[in-house]
Amino acid sequence: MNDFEARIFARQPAVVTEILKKSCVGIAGAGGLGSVIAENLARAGVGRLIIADYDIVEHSNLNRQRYSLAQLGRPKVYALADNIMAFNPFVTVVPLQERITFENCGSLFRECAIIAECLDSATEKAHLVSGLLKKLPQAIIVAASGIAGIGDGDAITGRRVLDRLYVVGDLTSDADDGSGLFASRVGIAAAKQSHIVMRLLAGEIL
Amino acid sequence: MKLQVNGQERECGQELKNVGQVLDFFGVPWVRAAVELNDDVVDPDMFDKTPVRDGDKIEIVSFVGGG
Repeated sequence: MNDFEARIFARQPAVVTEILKKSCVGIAGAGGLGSVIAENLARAGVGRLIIADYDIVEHSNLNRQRYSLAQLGRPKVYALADNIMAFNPFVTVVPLQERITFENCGSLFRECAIIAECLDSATEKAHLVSGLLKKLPQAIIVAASGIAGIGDGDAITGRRVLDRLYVVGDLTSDADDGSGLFASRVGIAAAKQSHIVMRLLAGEIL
Repeated sequence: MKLQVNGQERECGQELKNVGQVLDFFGVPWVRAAVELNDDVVDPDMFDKTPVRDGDKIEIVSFVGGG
């Protein structure tokens, strides 16, 4: 680690920074959850991020996703890689502009010890989680469910529901019922997902 | 029949033949569910083809949208 990089991490214990630098995390979806989680993990110095999303940046993303007006129309994975390089060029970002499915998720994220599930649709979440549990028998998944609306932020909690699956959210508030998605509440969930990933990497929890 | 559902013993009161029928019994839409039966992941397109037996352990994780 050169002096420039060391200065970025002056406020983190070196022992944790060293572990994070050697880690690879998958981010499945680069929307309201994924764009924030990728930023949190990159700021902490997670060495390698595999980010997959087929979509481009649209106006309706800007209320909560970490993109700028200048990035409208650009594939999210490349926009996100650019954003990360602007504050931590020592991260290796692997952008994959692909739709994530039950079939391909194992190969997209095969390098990753941990994958953050950051998709929008309930069905795609369920299929991705099933696919990852099945195809990557060592990987741990940190998913989100129940992050919509303007309800109590403290209702968003994290729990280990299976040996290799954590779920963050209130488990009930559904974006499909018209309650909307807000940067503040989605951001709480994203921060909690990021923090579970951090604690797993640092060996604080299993 | 008895099943161990999400860590709790549940008496289902009727014979449930497959994972799909278990999801229906507990009111979980198939399209939102990730399921483990006796610690093995069940493919989402195999819910109605995966038999369950008395005493089986089933974990059901149901998702809502938003991200």
